[in-house]
Amino acid sequence: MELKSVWKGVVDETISKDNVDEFVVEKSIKKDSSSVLAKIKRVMYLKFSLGGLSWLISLVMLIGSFITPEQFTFYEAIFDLTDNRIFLATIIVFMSALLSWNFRAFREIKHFETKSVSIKESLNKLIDFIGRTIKLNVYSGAAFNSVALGWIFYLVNNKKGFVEGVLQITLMVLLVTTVGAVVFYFLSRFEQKVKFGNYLNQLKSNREDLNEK
Amino acid sequence: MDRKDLEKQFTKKVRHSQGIVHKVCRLYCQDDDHRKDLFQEIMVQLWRSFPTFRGESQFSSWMYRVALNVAIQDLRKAKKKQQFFFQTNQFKDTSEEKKSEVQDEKLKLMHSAIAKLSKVEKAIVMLHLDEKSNEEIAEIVGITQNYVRVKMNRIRTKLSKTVKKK
Repeated sequence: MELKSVWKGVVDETISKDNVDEFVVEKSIKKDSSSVLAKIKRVMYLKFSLGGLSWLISLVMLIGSFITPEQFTFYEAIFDLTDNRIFLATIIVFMSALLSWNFRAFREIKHFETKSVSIKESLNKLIDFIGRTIKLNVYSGAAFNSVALGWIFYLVNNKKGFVEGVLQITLMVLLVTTVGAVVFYFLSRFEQKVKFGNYLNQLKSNREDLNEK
Repeated sequence: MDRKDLEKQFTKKVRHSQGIVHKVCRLYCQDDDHRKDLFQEIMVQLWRSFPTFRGESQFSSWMYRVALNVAIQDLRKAKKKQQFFFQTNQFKDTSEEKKSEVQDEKLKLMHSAIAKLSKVEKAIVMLHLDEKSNEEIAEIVGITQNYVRVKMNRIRTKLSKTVKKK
């Protein structure tokens, strides 16, 4: 079979029937992208909004707790002023780290989307980028959830009084946070594998197809 | 250049070379919905990267690069029920009925053989069929010219094996 002659004679004729006018092209470029990267970007927008808002509220409350402490405490039965400040500072530190990592990743996506490179280079960059996104999600998820768990244990202990003494309470919180970090690490890893694993494998198999052998 | 002018320039250029996008869509998609979605996605990505197109390569090579990247990185899985993408009965004129039958047969054979190729192989074979030189294929795909030749030989063997089986 002469592939080229069939391709030229028939395929070109079929393709000509698909042609669209300038209006359709103009309409197409105004729509949203549905690529995996666009989806990651949409999640990032949500993280920026929610994270930014929590960061701002926490900062205002932390500053307020120094200026007018009586107005900036919450749930006084289990939260004293020092707890309150440490809690807010923890949120600020975590949110700052999370927002800065996300911002860097966001900038990389923007750069990736606007630069046209060869198929192999594009696959390499996308695989690398998704790999790093998975790591970021796993580590930030494990860190955030374990610290939150540590705080919950600390507050419940404050109310119920299971453990007493600063050293014992510190050890308990550290133990809960560490165990939580390990459990949440594996849970987040599983979640990311379900989310991106199949796609990443497809991309890797395409890249493998381009490696000289 | 403001956005409006850029948009005009883009639509004019893309409209002129849109066949590339349609070919990619037909090659990689197994149904009409998927084809429309991929066409839309390629257009969006072409528009996004258009401001960085410096004219160092041909406009068509740039379009191939963007369109093939989008198609290869597309997530959607193939549906079980496949349609025949390249239309048959192109030559409906009764005087050419026989020619039509032969063409249809060849087309079916070509389609089923190409459909069995991997995403990367489809890209290479499409560029080859579109008369791109090995140098251009190597530049678009990101492999050496020598490996383009090796790949094409392997693809030819694969295609002829599939055709012989039929």
